[in-house]
Amino acid sequence: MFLEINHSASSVSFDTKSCFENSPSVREELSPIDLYWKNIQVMNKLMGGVVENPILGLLILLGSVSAVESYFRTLICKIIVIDKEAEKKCLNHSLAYGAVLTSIQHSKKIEDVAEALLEGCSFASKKNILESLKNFIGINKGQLPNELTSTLEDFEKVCHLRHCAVHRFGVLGTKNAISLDFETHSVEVGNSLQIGVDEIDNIVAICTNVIKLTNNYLFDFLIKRMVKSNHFNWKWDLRSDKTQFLKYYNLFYSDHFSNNERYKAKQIYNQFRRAEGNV
Amino acid sequence: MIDQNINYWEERADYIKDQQIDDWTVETDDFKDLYKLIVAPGAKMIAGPRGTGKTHLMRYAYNQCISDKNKPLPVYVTYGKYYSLEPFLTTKANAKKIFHTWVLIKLVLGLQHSIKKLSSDKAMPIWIKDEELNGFKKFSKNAEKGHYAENDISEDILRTIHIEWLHNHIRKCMDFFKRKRCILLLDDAALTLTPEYLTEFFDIFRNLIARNISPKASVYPGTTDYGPRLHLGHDAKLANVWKIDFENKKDLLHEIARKRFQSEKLDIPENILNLLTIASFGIPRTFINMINDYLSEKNINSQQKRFNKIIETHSDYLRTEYRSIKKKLTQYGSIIDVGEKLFDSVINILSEANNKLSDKNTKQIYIGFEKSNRANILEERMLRFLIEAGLFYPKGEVSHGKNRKYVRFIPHLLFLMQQRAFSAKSRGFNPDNILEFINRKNTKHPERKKIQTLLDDEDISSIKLDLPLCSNCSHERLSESQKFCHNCGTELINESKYQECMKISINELPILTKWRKNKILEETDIKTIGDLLHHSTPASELRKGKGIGEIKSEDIYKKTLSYVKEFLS
Repeated sequence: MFLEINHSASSVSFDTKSCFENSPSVREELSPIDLYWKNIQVMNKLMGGVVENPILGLLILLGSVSAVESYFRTLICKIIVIDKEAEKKCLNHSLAYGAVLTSIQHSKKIEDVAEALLEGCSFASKKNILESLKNFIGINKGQLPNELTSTLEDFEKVCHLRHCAVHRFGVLGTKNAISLDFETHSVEVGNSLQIGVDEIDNIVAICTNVIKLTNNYLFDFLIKRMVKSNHFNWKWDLRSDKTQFLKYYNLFYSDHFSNNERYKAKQIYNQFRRAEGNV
Repeated sequence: MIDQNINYWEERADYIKDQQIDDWTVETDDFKDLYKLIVAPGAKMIAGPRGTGKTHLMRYAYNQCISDKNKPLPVYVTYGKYYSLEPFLTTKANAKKIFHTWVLIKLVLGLQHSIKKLSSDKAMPIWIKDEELNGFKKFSKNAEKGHYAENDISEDILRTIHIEWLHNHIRKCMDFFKRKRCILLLDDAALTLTPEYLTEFFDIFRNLIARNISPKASVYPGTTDYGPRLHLGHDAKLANVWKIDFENKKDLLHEIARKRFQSEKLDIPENILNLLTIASFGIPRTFINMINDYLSEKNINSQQKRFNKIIETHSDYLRTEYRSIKKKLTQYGSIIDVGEKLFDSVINILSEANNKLSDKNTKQIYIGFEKSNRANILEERMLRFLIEAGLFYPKGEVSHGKNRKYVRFIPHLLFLMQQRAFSAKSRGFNPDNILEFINRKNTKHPERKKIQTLLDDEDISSIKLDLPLCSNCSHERLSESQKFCHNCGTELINESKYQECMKISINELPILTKWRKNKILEETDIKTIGDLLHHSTPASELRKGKGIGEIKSEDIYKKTLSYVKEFLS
């Protein structure tokens, strides 16, 4: 006889397909950075509820890191599609049979194949982000500016908090305490994570800094690398170079963060031309 | 003999030459104790409001250590220009890293300065390449202009400079010059406008503490936020430079006057000098200023009018300085206003109390605020502003029965004098009688009050932060440091304080005469502090004003710079 110590469980009918029905993704229309902003804004608006409902803080933490992950995933797969050097870097990577099948039968989009390359990747840590930049785009961590690496270090702290929230319902474990600075955190081991308005604010600011800096850095890096690699014959006249230039410009341009005359395509193109010594 | 090249009136130790620092130092017992603390092993915080002699003390200790082989190797650095790095907080994600590196580079440059001074006897071999040193100088110079050069040299500096690296170099120098210890004198470390940097600074401070290496930092009183890692009392001891013990201070200030102004030139009656000593509230810079003012008001014959004018000028100056916090920290505007009302109320209460004591043999200069069971952070902040500005001198807590504790303060005595608190109901001006009153013993207990009873309901409800609304949806903010609006999700704009300072109109500069202000505003393109300091040829622009020549333009520029320094320090 099976010994029961609590009530018996009931039957549940759960069709996960219904979770996705009639909710098409907006990814196609927005640049990755605008997609990030759209997602993080939703998180920001929840901030006011944290005072009355503190658990919301943990959910905003998860949502914020997820918004960063989504940015990297979308951006990298779009880079693989438009950038020849990145494409070259990925030619040897393996792909799941299911991903190829979906692409042939349903989407027929090369972006989806590229995204399938990232299926096994997580971007919820500094290490993972740096590895992906190296494996899919060909950037070594030594090339990154200090401003970005310092911000990724802050982001790493956010990821450790996320780890507590996801795996321990917010309780700080020893491993996370060691990573966060054992000297100041050891006394907090076993304590519950409490994310208030100020903490959310800082978390969102760190995530947004990661995105702003990465977006600026990758645009500068890729477009300059393209000149060195001779994949395109630049004429240094916007009328001739427009199509190629706009592929990169549109990928990184943000309706929200580039809302200033100095970020218009023509201005940036002129700066690019000057930086390459073609005034 | 009077040397025409020396400014005997100079009240800021930053601008005094080494020789004068040594000559003008008054070695009272208190001073000797503080000097010993500075030179002795162990980390120290030297606290005192502006003008109490922190810089003087540090520079004196530095000179003594340089010239005595048995004393520790000294390194003196001033962080007064930290505010130039403040705009990075809103424009660079790695602002704290840049600040951290700047703090250490300043120490490297300070070490190099000490090596140069010590090398007159015995030259130290090259410890750092010229190229590297020039890179550091450039980095520091750029940072102090609010600029970070995005190039490989700067990136490399950010990567290479760290505390252990600095410790190694300090040790090499200690070995070479055969100094057993090293003291790092970190002046102007109050960094009041940038709490973000303050926390980072004290983290660096704590990590600088090592075997035979002890940092000493000068801070303002009332600073309580030393960051999560530094434990005051354990990691570093606090020493207070600001003392208002009348008897000892009288000797100290009189001696300062004698040394600075050379007694034969001091045409001030003894009793007036004593009154000025008390009115300066233990702050030597104020005392020097007052004497300077007294001597320059020769046209006023009446001693009373002359004295009253000084009291009035300085009370205006102290109020202006206190109110200037509103401009620096706009979110505390209402709190600063209520703080001033509280201060005035205390002055009235103590003046009345002294009027009642006029026939007795005691005086009352203490106010005691009843301590509430629940700490009110903003109320405490309000009192801290009054302490920082030197308007309240903290005298610690006293207990009056079970669960009744009072936090005691002495308000600036100049304001009590202005209210004729010590004139014993007399209408005339009798310095000796005033001095007799002030020298009486204090009553046994302070005037005990609840802060709430000294303010009306409107004032009490004004003890709150003034936070700007969201520029997108006009929603109120939840907290002081909020970066994103919780209503519409938009990024909130927090303007840099440095930039706010640059926007101050020339018309608002208290240090310029009305004539000069009008000339500048009407006849030149300079309208704000920023226009002047960022102008490529400020002197030529100023001289467009008719009547402003080389000397005046230089003076205006210097005064504006010193105003900015005071404003942001």
